[in-house]
Amino acid sequence: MRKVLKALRIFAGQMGYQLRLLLRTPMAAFATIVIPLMVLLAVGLLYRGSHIGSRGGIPYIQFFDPAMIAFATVTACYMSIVSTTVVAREQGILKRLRSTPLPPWLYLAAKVATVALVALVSSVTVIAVGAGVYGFHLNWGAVPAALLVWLIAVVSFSALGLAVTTLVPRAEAALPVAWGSMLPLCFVSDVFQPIDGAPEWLRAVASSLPLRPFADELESLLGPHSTTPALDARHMEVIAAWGIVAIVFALASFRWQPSGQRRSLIRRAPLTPRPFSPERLATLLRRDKPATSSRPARSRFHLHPRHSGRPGFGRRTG
Amino acid sequence: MSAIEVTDLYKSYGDANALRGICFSVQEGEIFAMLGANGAGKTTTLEILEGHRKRSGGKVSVLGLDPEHGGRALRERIGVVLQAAGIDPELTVKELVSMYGAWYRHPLPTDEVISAVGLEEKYHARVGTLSGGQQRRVDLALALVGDPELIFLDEPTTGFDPVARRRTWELIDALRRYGRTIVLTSHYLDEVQHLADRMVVMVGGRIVAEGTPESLGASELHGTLIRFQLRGSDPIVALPPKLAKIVSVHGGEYTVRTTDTTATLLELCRWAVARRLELRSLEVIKPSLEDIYLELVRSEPTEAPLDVEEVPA
Repeated sequence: MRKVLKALRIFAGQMGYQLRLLLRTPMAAFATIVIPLMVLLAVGLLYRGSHIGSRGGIPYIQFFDPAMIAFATVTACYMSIVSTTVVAREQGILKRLRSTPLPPWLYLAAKVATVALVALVSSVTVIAVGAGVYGFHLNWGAVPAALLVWLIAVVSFSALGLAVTTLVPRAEAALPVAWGSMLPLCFVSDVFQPIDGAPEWLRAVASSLPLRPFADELESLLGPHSTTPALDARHMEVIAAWGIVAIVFALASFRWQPSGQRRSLIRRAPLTPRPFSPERLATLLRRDKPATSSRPARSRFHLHPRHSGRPGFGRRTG
Repeated sequence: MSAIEVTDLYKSYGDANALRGICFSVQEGEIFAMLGANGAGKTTTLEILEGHRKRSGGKVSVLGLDPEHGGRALRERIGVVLQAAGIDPELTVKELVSMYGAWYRHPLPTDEVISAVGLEEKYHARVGTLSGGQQRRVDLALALVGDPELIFLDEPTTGFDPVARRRTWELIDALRRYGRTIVLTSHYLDEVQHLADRMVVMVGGRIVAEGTPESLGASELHGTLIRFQLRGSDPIVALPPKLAKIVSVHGGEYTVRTTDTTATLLELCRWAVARRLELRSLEVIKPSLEDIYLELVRSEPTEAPLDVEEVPA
């Protein structure tokens, strides 16, 4: 019992730590919360008043607001986990944690719980702004079902994020990899626009990736275009399957050591660095001097009448 | 009982050997120092002892446990100052120290740890705003807050100003007084001389010398140095063969290394008097630890093992 209490206390402390990190790096908070809102406001304005024929003529916002919940969730989970974890690893922060008694699973669990909290705040904001600005009607009856799908997605996308960190070698590569993998996925996954008109094969591929099932599920539950929205078990299976694969992959390959240190271990170099050589330096500095060293020393830049004018390059002949 | 036992420790990366069979033990309550150039294998050894790296061969026991499998039970009892480990720059000193303390069973009070490393004034400062030396002291505070029995310090005072360095020495001395065992690596010979009870010198993944700093300095092996100068025009030829073998010349300065000080000195003086040479600045010196260290590092075989980068850029 005391052990459980202690673990809970550490977990709470770790969540506080992760939240603090997020709040004190305004750029991270900007990316995870403001970007989905900006997309919602901009695209919502663009399609204000239009309807979607392929989905029973529902107002565009009924599709787009749930889609932005999916986008906000994936941004908060996948994107922020990839970027912050790779940076923490490459700075040696994770390595330091591994030399303390902090259980690694507690660190990771707190991280996932924190991004889930951020995703929740972000999703609620998206709903509120969508409702307030563009008149989005939330299907309140489906909220419990949507919450279940959302939770599965949070775990799956966080696990995917952790798995992807193992493929990113450097801190600078983290954001490009995260955005570069997430944005194309969003375009084919009913997130930025319905892909009802896309070729059959593309829709099939998108349906087997984790984002389209998630977005479709939220869209049909929260902004229904059918009269009887219901949970689609196949959607949840696909999302969960990706999560399980990601967890297995992350367990096998997650690293706590910076890659910089690992890479340098296989670099070969001489046992002792090439010694600093005063003799070579002396030769270098003496290039302009005659070979005989019995002459009294004088300044290298002293213009001697017998020399030809350019300091340092005159050479006495004979 | 010894805190650390290392027998025939090997570590290779691919076909390159970073450690080639090292043995040593560290007694409870002593300060043990590892000295060596970059790439000698100090950090690799420490990281194996801390459980950060797997060894390729040999036996290692840290506080009676195998660091590869010691897990939380071992990490609870050790404190580690890594050479290049980041700290979240957004957190304050107090937040970090109290967060780390919460992971241990018997942590020391946060304020006192921060005072002990001399960061009272930076209590609420974010780590990112501290100087390099101050961040290193945060490192030290984080290693100490769990009240560990055994403390690993990888170059603990690199980048410190002289005052901070002295304070850290005093802190380490105090830790020993309270029975803590300390393993440290260093580039600074004065640091080792000041702190260490015992030391090893590592070159190319091997231990080339072991002893107390005093015994290493007084060792017969390294003998005495006799140094003198001759005027540029004085001939050094015709030295007695026995002397010629052991003399080395650097600039106008001649150094004779001998274990038979009295006889060598007499012979040298006879030679000089017979030729009416003046041995200028004649001195008889006991080699410093630094002389011995440099000699050890130079005299080792120069086969090329890998370079274990200790400070990634």
